[in-house]
Amino acid sequence: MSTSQPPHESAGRSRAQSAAGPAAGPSSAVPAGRPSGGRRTAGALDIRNLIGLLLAVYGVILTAAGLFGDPETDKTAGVNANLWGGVVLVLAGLVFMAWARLRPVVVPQDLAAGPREQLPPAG
Amino acid sequence: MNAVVTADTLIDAAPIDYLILAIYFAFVLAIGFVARRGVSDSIDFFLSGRSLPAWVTGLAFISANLGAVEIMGMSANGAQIGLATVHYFWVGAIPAMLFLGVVMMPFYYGSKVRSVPEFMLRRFGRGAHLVNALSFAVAQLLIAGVNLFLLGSIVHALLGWPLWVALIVAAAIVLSYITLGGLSAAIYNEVLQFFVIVASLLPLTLLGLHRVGWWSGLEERITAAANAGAGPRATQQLESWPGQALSGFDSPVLSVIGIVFGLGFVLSFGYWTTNFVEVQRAMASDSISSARKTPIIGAFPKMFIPFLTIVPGMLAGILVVEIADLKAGGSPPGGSSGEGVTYNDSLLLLMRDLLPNGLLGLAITGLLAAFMAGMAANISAFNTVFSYDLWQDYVVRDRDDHYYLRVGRVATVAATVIAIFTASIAGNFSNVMTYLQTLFGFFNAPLFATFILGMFWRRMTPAAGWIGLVAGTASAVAVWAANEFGPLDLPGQGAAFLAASTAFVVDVVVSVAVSMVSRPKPATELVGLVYSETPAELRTDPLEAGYPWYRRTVPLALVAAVLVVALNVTF
Repeated sequence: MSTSQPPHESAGRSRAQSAAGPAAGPSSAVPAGRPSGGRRTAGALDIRNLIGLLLAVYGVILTAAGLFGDPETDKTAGVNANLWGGVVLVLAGLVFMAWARLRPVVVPQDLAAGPREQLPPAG
Repeated sequence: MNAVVTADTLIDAAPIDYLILAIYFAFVLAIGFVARRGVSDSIDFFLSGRSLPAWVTGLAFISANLGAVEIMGMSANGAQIGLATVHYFWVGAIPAMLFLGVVMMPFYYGSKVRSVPEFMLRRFGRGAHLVNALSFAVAQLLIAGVNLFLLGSIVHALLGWPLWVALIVAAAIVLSYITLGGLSAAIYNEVLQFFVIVASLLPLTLLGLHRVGWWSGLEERITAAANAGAGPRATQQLESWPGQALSGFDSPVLSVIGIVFGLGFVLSFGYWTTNFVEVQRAMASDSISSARKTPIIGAFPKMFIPFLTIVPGMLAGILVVEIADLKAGGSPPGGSSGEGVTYNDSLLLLMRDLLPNGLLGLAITGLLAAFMAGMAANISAFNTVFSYDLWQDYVVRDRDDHYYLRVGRVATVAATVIAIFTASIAGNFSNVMTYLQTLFGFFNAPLFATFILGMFWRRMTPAAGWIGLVAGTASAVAVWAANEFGPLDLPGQGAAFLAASTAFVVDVVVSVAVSMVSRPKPATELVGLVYSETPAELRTDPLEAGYPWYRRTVPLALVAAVLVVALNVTF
């Protein structure tokens, strides 16, 4: 991930404050006492962990439904769809979590301090 | 409303299905909550608007579009006219996405324009800004209605409530979803939603193909049904070109022209290059190189989505008794509207017939998530443009931020209520895709003409900006009216293609004519807005030359282009 790119302004309606520059975000306070070097990983909130967790949870539920529930083979023409779908989802979930573990996203300290109102006000 | 139909439900959901649904919403609300509280600055980092890797923004880019249009509209189209629907992807999306990435994205990213009205204001001044903000606001309300209608029809199918009750309940759910902060984590949710949808549509497609005897079985069954009089001729349903069933033109040559120019150029370039709901996703990426790769990476999954939406539609035309009956000319009762089955019901009915409880819940979750996110995006886009571009600039100026935030809240509620009414307009179209293409013809086609002309022709004047837009939209409405009430008679989506093409041509001609007789802006005001006035450093990423080929924009785009040509030749 490039850190040398000049940060552009937030995507919100920032016409009025566009001259304020990159460091003027509302949530720019970075807690003191971070690990040195300005690098740490996104951890559990890495989106790949969230995807992996959701898919794996669904996979477990479907696998259980396939093993213990009615496979309704009249609908599926003989295939235990819940079981197969569940197993594949568990595997996909594990792949995502492994990916996040093996290639963690590094949050550079200077970038973590940026503004976050990139979406319009939620109402 | 028929009491018998509303008494029992279209889909029989079991507790396990509701469990899967509940888990998803708990997940999404938790992310929204964390994002809103700012508990973790990792999430800040992801949402900060300049930090996402290209694969995440690429998926969000596709997912922002993978809503009602894609899923219900494309399966409805697949059931009604068959394989020619793939043109919406391989002609109507991929080329425009590649163009956006290679040509236009550097420009957007460099010029820091954040919305269409904002571009209009800076490039053309007040007139074009007002016209565009108004038409954008109207378009968002109408499209929100489509999403709400489809959301309501799922609630109806699940619970059996009358459609109008389902609509109001669905609107209330979306409103709470927006206010609970789900929107601030929109990109996260979109990526999650993409995987949930794929996880439910893939087994649906495979099970359906398994039941009919895979591809050859599907071909045989469609041919047999078509010979018996169901739907267009079998060759038209099973071959993508020349696609007469899609365009509504009898002549194959006109049909190809209509698809390539109307759909492939005007509608699709208009949609993909000026739709800031999607372009914003690319803006959230970490560098100009990632921004350019966003639509190109999105193009790869986009190429294969037709197999998950159109093929189930075609399967529904065979496997679902009601849809087969409808296709053969019957008018089966029931359906999600409660007033007779339409093609819009294809996917829901196929799910009912093929998926066991469990997978069914996953499928329902995917659909609900997609339509809610779609409608929430429309409402929030409306809210932004209404409170800042319209209210602040033209009605009540110079008040503090809190005032406009309150205006925004009122606008959100009002837009949701209005969407209930625009949803009933959408419900009058038996195929929502036709309706949506008509809307895009009205709003996006002239916008694209003005955009592209204004970007590459510095002589274009402020007056030409707004007059061209008005003329373009007016001509598209005129073509639509002529087809609806007057001399033209094009079935299928040909009328929408024609309206869009007309709007584009009229806009260009009028803009050029007006520019000739009015004063252009001085060149110094056009830096960052017009291609020739923007220095190359603002448009390129110096680091990209050092990347391996699979991380560079142009080689990736070439791979995508080759693949899409191969797909067109195969089918």
